Amino acid sequence: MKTIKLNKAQRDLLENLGPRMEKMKGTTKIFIGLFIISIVIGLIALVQQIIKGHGVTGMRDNVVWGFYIANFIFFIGVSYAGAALAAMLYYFKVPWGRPVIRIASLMALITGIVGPVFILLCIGRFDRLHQLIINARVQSPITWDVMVISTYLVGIFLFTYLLLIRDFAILRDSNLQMAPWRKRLYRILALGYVSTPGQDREIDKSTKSMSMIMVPKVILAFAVLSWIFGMTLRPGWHSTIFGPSFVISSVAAGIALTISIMWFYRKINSLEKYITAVHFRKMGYILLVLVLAFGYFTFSEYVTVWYSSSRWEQAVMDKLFDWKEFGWWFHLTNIFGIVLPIAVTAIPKFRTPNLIALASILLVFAMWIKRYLIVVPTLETPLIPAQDIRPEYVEYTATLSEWALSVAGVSTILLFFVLISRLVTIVSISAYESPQESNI
Amino acid sequence: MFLNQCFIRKDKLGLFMPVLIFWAALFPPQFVYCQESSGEEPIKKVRSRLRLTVTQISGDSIQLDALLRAKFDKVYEKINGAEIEFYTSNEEDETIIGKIQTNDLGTAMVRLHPSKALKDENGYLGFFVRFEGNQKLKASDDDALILPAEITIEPITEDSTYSMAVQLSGLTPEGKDTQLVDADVVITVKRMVGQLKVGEGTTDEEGVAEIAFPNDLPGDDDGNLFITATVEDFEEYGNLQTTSIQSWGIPVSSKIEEMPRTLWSPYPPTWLLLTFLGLLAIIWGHYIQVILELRQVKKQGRQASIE
Repeated sequence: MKTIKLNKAQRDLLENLGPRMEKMKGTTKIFIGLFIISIVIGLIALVQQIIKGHGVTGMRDNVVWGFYIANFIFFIGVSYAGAALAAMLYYFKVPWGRPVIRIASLMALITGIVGPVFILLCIGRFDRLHQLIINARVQSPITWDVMVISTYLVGIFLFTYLLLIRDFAILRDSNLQMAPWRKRLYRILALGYVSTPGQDREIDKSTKSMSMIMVPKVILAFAVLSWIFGMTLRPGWHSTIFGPSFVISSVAAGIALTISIMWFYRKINSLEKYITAVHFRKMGYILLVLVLAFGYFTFSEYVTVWYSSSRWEQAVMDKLFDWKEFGWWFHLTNIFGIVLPIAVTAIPKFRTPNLIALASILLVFAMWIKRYLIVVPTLETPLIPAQDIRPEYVEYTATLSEWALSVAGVSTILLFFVLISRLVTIVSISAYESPQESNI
Repeated sequence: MFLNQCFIRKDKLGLFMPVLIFWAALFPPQFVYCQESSGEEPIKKVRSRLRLTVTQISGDSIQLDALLRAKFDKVYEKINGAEIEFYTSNEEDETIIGKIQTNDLGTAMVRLHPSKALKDENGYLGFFVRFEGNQKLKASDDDALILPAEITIEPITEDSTYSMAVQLSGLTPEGKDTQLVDADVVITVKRMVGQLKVGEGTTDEEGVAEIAFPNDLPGDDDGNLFITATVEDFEEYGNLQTTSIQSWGIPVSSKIEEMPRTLWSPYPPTWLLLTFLGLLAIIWGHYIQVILELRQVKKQGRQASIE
């Protein structure tokens, strides 16, 4: 039977990374156990939420969105960013981008699967979910979002799969010691790929066309997600700069998460040879541009609101700057989300993999808090002055249920990352060229 | 041994420690909601409040409305699903009228013919309502005594102006007929979400209030208006109410006209529909093409293996 021929660099890579896929380390098993425990706790919280209703969450009449929506827009945002990054690096054949494409596309797929689950957690009645399709209104941004997300998920699945087919075939033909079911799985997923000219042509054509369509699709998906907020007449949301600012911050978070994952995989699996300082530096440049734009948009957004002195807009802004309300979190997002990444990526001395990764990890946390600050302070500012109302109706506090389900969501993402690194190599074997070959 | 291994491999475990510490530091205790203890302490019952309102309607029925509320965290809440017992009574006797569960507004209502109500020796009709209490709420009750009264309404049309003559009469404790003087009467018209007040007046020494009525109100298909005259809590007669249907309104068709294509109608603007479907068609068309190309990959793989 015909098998895939590998060049020397690819053979070395397979020999280096292959054994890690054969056997699971003890520490990996411990982490998998912890993730599963978190997920089980989350499932218990979900059952409690289904039985008792949304009263177990902190969401009430006024603040109808909280942790779940913050998680949703954060994860789906970084997923879009990962997809756009992978698609652009592939389409423009960026020489240093190959290891990044694999990590970015896997991140896009995993966070894209988990992110929308938080929407389901936010919806009180699962039994009415089908009504979103049956009674869909084309005029509603919610309908656009449902269609865009489902379309995006199919797209990112196809794109990631196309990027993986050749590696599935290599793993199928490899001599790695694996369970028969894994070999059988690789055989099915490889679709009989044996590197014939026709197969290569079809796969290259499909991947290129998917990468081409992925960028406008992601921009559309990002725009729709931001319009859900921007098209609502609420202070803090209804602004023309909301969409661009939201998109830029999400892309920055996605790039930062990709850098963080690169750093973790590099440290844990000793991939310094394949994910080099050059990769971190180049990703740092992209991050710098995005964060500068985000900083400018943020300043522009708040200085416009401050200068106009619109009563409702000012009420939300006062909450963001009040140290007793959201002041700490707001300033934290600006320091960790704008100032620190700029300092690390702009000053050559600081552009080391460790510092870029640290700045990226902090930026990811800052951007999650930014999502929380987009959702909650606005909803805590009712349009109609509420009188004689219970404080918890206008003041949101996340409950243990929401914490448990949020931690379960993060654990699911981490579990997927651990498991997928056992299924495929984190650095693409088929697309790998030595640094000398790729001129980086 | 296990711990030893952990320490040896602390460089790897240590990678996650900054993240865990960061999470812990990032969310101070006030961010976490503490749920109340569900211990076995006995539940302290909350005091409930029951209020009875009696309305005499057009002289042919009496409506009893009960409202049940209770104070939780300094805020009155209307109690839903509580069983309220309605009675009519005098010094010697009491007769149950019915048992009704409160609705989501905390109210329960019964109607009875005036002849079924028990009278005391002074001619007062006696009613009371009772809530027996439950696991969370203490019992409560309320009562009311009213003298029989009658309210009639007479439409007056002069040229193109309209007015209503509302006549109030009742019985004294001695059983004599009397006109109800200086009673405030309010005229309302039924609209889609409630009653629209259109006029008010006070009864003269004849017990009559003549109230002007507007002639530019939209009515139903035939121009009919559902008019109500109400007197609230007048002396010992309680509430009085009567209704009348007059074709004094401007006929307005309730047929649904065909909606235009707008953001707010069921029909989206054409450009929006075409953009939405067009974008979906382009993207899904792309997917179908990619899936067909993947089928080609599989087919060619099969041919290569045969060769």
